[in-house]
Amino acid sequence: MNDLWPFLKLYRQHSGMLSLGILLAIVTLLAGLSLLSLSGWFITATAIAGLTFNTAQTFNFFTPGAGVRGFSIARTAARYAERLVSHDATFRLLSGLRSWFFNKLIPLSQEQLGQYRKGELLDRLVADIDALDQLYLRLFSPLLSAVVVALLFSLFIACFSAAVARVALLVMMLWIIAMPLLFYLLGLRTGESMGVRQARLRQEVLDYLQGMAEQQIYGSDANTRARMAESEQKLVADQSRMAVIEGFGSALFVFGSGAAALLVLYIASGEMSAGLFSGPVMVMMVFGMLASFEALMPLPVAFQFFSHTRQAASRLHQVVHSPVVVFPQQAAGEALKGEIQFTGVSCRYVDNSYVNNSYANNLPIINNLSLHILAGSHVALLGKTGCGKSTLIQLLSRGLEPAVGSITLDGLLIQELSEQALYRAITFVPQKTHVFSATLRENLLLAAPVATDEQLLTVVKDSGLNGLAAARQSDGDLLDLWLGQGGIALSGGEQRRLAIARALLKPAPILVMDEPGEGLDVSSEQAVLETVLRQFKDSTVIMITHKRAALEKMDQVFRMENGSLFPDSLLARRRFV
Amino acid sequence: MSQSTQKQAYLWLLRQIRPAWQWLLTSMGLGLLNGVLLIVQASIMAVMIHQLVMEGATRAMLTEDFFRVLMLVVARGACTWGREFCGFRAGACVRVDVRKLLLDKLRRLGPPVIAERPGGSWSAIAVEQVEELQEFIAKYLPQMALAVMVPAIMLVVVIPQSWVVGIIFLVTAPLIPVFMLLVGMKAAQANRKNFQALSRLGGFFLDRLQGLATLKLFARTRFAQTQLANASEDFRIKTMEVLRLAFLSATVLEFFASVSIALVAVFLGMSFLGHITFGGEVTLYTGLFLLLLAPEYYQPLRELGTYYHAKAKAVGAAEEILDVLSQKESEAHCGKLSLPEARPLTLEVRELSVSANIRSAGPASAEASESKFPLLLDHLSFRIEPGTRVGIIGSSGAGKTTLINTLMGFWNYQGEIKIAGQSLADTRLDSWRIAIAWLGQQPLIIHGSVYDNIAFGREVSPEQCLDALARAQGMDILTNLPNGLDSLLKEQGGNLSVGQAQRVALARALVLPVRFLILDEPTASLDSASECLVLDALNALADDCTVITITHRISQLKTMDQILMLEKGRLVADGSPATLARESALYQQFIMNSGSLEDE
Repeated sequence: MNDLWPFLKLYRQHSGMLSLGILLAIVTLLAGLSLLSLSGWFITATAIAGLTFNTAQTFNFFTPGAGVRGFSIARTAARYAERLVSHDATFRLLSGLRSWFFNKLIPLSQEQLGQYRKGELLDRLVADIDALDQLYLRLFSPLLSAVVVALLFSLFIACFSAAVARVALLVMMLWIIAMPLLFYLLGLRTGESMGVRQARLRQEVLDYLQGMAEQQIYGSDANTRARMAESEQKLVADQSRMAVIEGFGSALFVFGSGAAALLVLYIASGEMSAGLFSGPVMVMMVFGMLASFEALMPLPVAFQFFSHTRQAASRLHQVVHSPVVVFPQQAAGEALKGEIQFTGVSCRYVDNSYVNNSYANNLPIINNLSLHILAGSHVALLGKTGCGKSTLIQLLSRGLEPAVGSITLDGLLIQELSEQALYRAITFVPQKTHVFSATLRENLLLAAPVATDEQLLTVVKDSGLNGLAAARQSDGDLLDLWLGQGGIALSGGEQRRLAIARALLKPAPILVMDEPGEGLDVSSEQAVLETVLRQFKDSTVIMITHKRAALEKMDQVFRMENGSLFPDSLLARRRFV
Repeated sequence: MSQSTQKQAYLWLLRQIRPAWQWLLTSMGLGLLNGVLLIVQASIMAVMIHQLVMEGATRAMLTEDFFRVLMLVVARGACTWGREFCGFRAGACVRVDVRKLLLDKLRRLGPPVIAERPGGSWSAIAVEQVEELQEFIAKYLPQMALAVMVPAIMLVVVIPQSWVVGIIFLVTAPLIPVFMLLVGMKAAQANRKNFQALSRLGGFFLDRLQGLATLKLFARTRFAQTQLANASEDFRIKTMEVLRLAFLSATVLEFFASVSIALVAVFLGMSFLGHITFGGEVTLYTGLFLLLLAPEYYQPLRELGTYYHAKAKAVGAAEEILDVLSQKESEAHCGKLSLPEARPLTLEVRELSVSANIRSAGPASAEASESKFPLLLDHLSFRIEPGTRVGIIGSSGAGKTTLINTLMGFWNYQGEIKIAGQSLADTRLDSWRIAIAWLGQQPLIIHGSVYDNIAFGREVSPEQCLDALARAQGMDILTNLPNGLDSLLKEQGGNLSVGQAQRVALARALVLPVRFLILDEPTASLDSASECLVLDALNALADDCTVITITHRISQLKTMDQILMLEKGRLVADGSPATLARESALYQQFIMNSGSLEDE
């Protein structure tokens, strides 16, 4: 329950809507219950009254008749309103949960975020949020309504017979307490194992498909398929157990409502014979008992899957409690010139997925690095894959904290700059560009919120993104092209161009580019680089690359090897022989 | 998602349930039995109450009836249980079959088609989408039958008791099919919209989460937050509009269910009091019996309503599944002859062409005209002697991977490929493939031990594995693992570096004797140290083994005996590196442009 608590607190924002939803659910149930009990009473009472002409004439049928009609309308109306309100509330909750989660993720370090970007982890987190969103509709609302209906019904019955009321209350409370517990426990182990086995099957299918070439060449297809079929059988066995439990819940419901009505009939008929109340009242009790079970129906299934919700909560809990990057609220100043100083910086890269096993190898990737870059100078960093070039960028963007040493911009420690000040000072062309599922305009406005369409179009042309429309044979407005998921998938080269276009829109004293020419052919790479360097000619530029193109335009070139920097003396040497 | 593909998907789905019909019938049968028992139970309870109230019976006289109802309730519970379980079995049965269909289809489509999309998207169809079929088969289908049959049986019982109530039932459920249409079409449509909206909103959220790093670099997180809030709000308002309609049609059903109870009660009351004289004589028994049945009469239909989303989900999933199943396959070009074992494996290729339409499929390509299919490989001719080291070069999209996929028998082709003098088209593929080993760009590590990863389902001894690992320069991997060959490797090589994973994959390729090794940029994802290790291992291979390597690294070309250079599907240069460096302008150009620090 502890894991769920923070999420329950989020409910407070929408407490009005949520309570209204529950209230309407209770009204619906009560109206249904009243309709049936009153109808039972009415028929029995009229049947007795109809035995003699006199009583038949004096019987007041207007009040109960109106009651029956009223309840039937009330039930319909309340049900409709309840659905609307509770769904509306659920949407609000969903939106609240997502904003909350997004907020919590923002301050996480790049390192942590990187973990979640991998694979399907993020998908799972999104699914977890959705699972929590169901908490209200599937768990709280039914549970609360069940309790209230049980109490009110017993209270009403108590006006006629304490014994029957006691029995009704006992049966319903037993149900409300025992069923959730029983089904939570029944669903616990199988639910967990089901999740594991489904993940296992998914993994095996993925392995099978990705290894299809190997499978065919090494002739191991049949073996692999047999193993997958076995995993599938195990999953089906778990699901089957879950289905048995679910079926047991339904069976218990059918049995419970019937047996409870029978029990009430048994006790009430004894009391009626003793003259404690009349026949119509007894019928009313029996019908009421039957109908009130409607309120208890959803409980078993809701709690069978409760462990699933709890796990979702605990996973989210873990994410939002990961280490965060702290930016000072008040900036110590602004970096406007663009002088960069690394002093004795070392850092290790710790991959979180390794932390819990013995093979952890957190090698230092930057080793006692010192580098002074003068304001306005253009510097290239060369190095092979894995030498730590990109780590430098991570350090500058505070995606990674140095283990030792310090980094300053214009003499200010970067830890003392506010988030705004830091990102105002540096424009990045990161190695991986995220293309948002949005129009090209929105993808660009990200970098310059107030840019006009003309400005955007100029940048589009400069970065070579104008080829986008021609290649897709689209003649609509270029800026309205929908990119990313559900739109145009950009090639690697086009993604680079987008990243560069964004950089062109955001002038800053410092420009940091990570492999800006990757995926572009040599001539376009040079053209684009020229534009960028022209635009940022007064800024400090750091370019990370493993290619020799465009090095002529740089003031200084450093080589990076095993986490240390060396001045490159071979700047002017041959390109290749 | 057009109406016609949905219809198609729905019909396809209905055809898939054939193997499960026994379970489905049992499920329906139990549901029906439950309905009949319910009528009996209502009747006995009505009799009991009638006797207690009207005839002054005591409960002691009715002990037998109490017992009977108890038995009935137990039996109905059992029916419900059995019905749900049988439904589940039906669903499981269909899912297993459909999954097998899908995997078989993907196997026939082969690695080139699978490589077109990320592996995750295929496995999502084969695992998650197939799971989506469950509720539709297990619950919706049996319920559809019950929603018609149970009320029908009840009507048959009710009409002899009181034709007036029978008419109330009939009229308030305006002939169930009409209802089904009303509720079904509108609600299903609205439901679908609701789901689409939700999934779009989910996609939007996911997209912003994935781009969070970018948002941070541009200090735009606050903006994205408001965007997110606005989008949620927008979706909420739009979806609620749709839901208002959807709920309305369900409410109509609810309304009639409630009103009919009220009408039955008022009609019976009035009859008892003598205010209504038509409809014949009714007793309290009849009244109670009818009143007990009234809510149950509408129950199956109401339950059906709760499963509409299951149908929408299943049809959506079926569309995606069908999309995969309807992809065109390349015709298998396997012959019956075994590869002559004794002869040296000379490879001779003449006028080899592969066009895109031979393998790619889907509706898009079916509509396109013939001329739109470019040749992926355009009349290639070359010859590779046994034991040669061959390098294939060319810019991306030149057809390098297509060429080796064709050589391995994954693509259909025109022209002639002769291995050891025998045409590939006449050869049994497995007899050719047994001579090949292959190593791709991304090392593949499967869930399992080091041994599982090297043996890969073949019968090899641990000693052979160790030997192969040693030849792949990978013995250092074992020193870090707790249980040697039996150590479990995490998915996607989670506890190995990429370089280590690639050497495990190389050991897999080398564990059985190989005469033809095909490498698709084996060092593309490796750092320089690991690259050296892998290249050393490859250089140490036996001399009679032919090695074909696709590469981007200029440095690797020097060790080759023969270079094949492709451009836009055509072979533009063929010869030893030294000759080409002298004679081929295109080759010189390629070397110039590809100059990269990695090659120094």
